[in-house]
Amino acid sequence: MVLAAEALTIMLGRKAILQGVSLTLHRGRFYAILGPNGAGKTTLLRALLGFIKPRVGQILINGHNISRLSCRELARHLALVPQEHRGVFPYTVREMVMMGRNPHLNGKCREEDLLAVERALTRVGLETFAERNYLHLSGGEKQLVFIARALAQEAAFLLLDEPTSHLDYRNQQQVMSVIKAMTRQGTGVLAALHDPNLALQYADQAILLKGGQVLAAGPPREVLSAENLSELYGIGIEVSTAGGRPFVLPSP
Amino acid sequence: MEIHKPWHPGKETGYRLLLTGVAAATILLAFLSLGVGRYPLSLADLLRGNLEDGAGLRILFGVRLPRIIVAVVAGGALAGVGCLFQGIFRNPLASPDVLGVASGSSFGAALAIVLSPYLSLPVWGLAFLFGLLSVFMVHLLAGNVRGNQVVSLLLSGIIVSAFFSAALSLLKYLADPMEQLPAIVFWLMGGLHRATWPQVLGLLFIVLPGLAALLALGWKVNILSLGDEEALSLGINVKVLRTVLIGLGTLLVAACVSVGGVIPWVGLVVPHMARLLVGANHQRSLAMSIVMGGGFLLLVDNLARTLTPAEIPVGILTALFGAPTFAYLLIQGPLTKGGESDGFGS
Repeated sequence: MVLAAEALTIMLGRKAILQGVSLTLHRGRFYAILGPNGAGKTTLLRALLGFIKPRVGQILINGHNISRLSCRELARHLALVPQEHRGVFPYTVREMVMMGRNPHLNGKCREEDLLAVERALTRVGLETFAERNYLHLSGGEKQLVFIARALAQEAAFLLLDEPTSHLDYRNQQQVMSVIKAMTRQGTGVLAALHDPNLALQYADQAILLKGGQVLAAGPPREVLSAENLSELYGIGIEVSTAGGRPFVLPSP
Repeated sequence: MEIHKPWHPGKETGYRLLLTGVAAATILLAFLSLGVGRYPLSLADLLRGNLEDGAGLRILFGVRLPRIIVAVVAGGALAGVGCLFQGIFRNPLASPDVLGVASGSSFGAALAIVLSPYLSLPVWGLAFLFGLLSVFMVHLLAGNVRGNQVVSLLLSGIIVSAFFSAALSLLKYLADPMEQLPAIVFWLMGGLHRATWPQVLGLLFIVLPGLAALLALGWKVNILSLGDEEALSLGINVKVLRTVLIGLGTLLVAACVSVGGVIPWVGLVVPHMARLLVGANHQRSLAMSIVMGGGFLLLVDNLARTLTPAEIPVGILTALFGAPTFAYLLIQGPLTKGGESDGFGS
C-alpha cells in the first residue's frame, strides 16, 4: 500500500500554499514533516485527506486517485488525529473510539467492531477510562483517545497534525512512542512536527517544507543538518551529539 | 478479552428501562387525558361506556383524541429535531427554529389569513409551504458562502428569519384589525385545538417515518457533531448527510408548526433534560428527547385546556415552563460544562 502525492500545487486565492510537492509514503514507516509556521504542513495533510482539491497534481493510494474514492473508502485507508479538537458533547471515551469503526460499519455494530475498540483502548492504556467523559480528560489523555480512535479505524496510514503541541514533556514522549509502536504494526505515519528533536528520535524519514516547497527529504540524521535547519527556520541552529544520539539546539 | 455490549456495559439495561418507563408514563398520560376537558366527560364515564347519546362520542373522537395525538406527535418531533439540530450545528442553544422554519411558516399562515377574503387557501397548507421555502432559501444562501458551513447556515437562518419577520409585520399592519389581526396573533401563539382528523393523519404520515429515519441516523449525528473535517476523515459524506438531516428536520418541524402553530421551547429544553438522563450519544438522546417531548407537550396542553375557563394558547405555557427550566439547567451546569472544560486540562 502506497500513498503518493504527485506534483501538488494548491492555491488559496492567488497565493500558492504548496508548489509542486511530491512525496511517496509506505506502510510501516514514520514520516515527519518539519517547517516554519505557514510552510504548508497542515495544507499538505488536508490535501492528502481530500479536504481540499489540488489545483495541479494528484494524490494516489495504490495508484487510485483519491478524488474517485468515496469518503468511506478513503477513511479505510487514511485516519486523522486532529491538531485542535473543540468538542461540544460529552461522549464517553468508548463512544469516541467506536466512531473510528464508522467506515467499517454496515448498519449494525458486530462483535469484531467491539473487539477492535477494546483492543485500541488497551493499546493506548485507556481501558479503565472507557466510561469517562472524554472532554474532562487531560490534553495527553485526549490525544490518546484520538490515537485509539485511529487504531480502531484500522487505516493503512495515519496523519497527525502537531500531535504533541499541547502536551507536557512526559506526555509528548508517551504519545510519540504509541505512534512509533503503530508503525511497527505496519501503519504508515505522517506527522507534522514542530520539534526537530522528536523527528530525530522517532522518524524514519524527515521532509523539510519551506514556502510550499520541499527543501530536503531523507533519513533524519542526514536531512536534519545544521545547515538545512538553519535555512529552514531562518535562525542559527547547531546539531550536537550526546551518547551517540544527535540533538538540535539553537546557536548561542 | 471481555467484550462489552455497546455502548455502556451495565448501563444499557438502565437506559432501556428508563426509555420504557418514560414511554409508558406518556402513554398512561395520554389515556388519562381522554378524561380531561371542560365538557363533563370523565374517564370514569368513558370506562363505563356512558357517552350520553353521541355528544360524548363526538367530544371524544372529534376533539380530545386528535388533540392528544397531535400533542404527543408534535412534542416528540419538535424535541427530536431540537436534539438533532443541536448535534449537527454543534451548538447546545440550537432549536428546531434555528434555520427559520417558524418565521417562514408564520408568514405563510398570516398570508393565508390576509388573503382569505379573495382566495380561500388553507392556513396550514401555506404555513407548511413557506416553512419549507424559508429553509430552502437558507440552504441556497449558505451554499454560496465559502468557509465554515455550520456558521454560514446559522447566519443565513438569522437573515431569512429577519426577512420573514419583517414581511409578517407588514401583513399584520395591512390586516383587517377586527378579524384578521386577532386571527394571526392567535395562530402565532400556538394551539393544538385546531387539529382536524385529516391534519392529524397527515402529521402522522410525515412524522412517524421521519422520526424512524432520524433514529436510524443517530450514530452518524454523533460523528457529524465532531466537526466537518473530523467527520470526513471518519468516512462521513458531510455535505450529503447534513443536507439530508436538515431536510428531514425541516419537514418535521414545518408539519408540526402548520398544524399546531408556533410552540417554542420544547425543542430547546427537552433535549437537554434527555441528555442529563441518558448521556450525549445521539442514538439514545434522540430517542429519549422524542419520548419526553411527547409527554411534555401533552402535559402542558392538558394544563392549557383546564387551568382557566378559556383556553390558554399552548405556546405561552411552554415558554412559561421552558424558560425557568432552562435557567435551572444553566445554573446546574449541563449547558456549560460540556465543551468549555478544556484549556486548563492536565
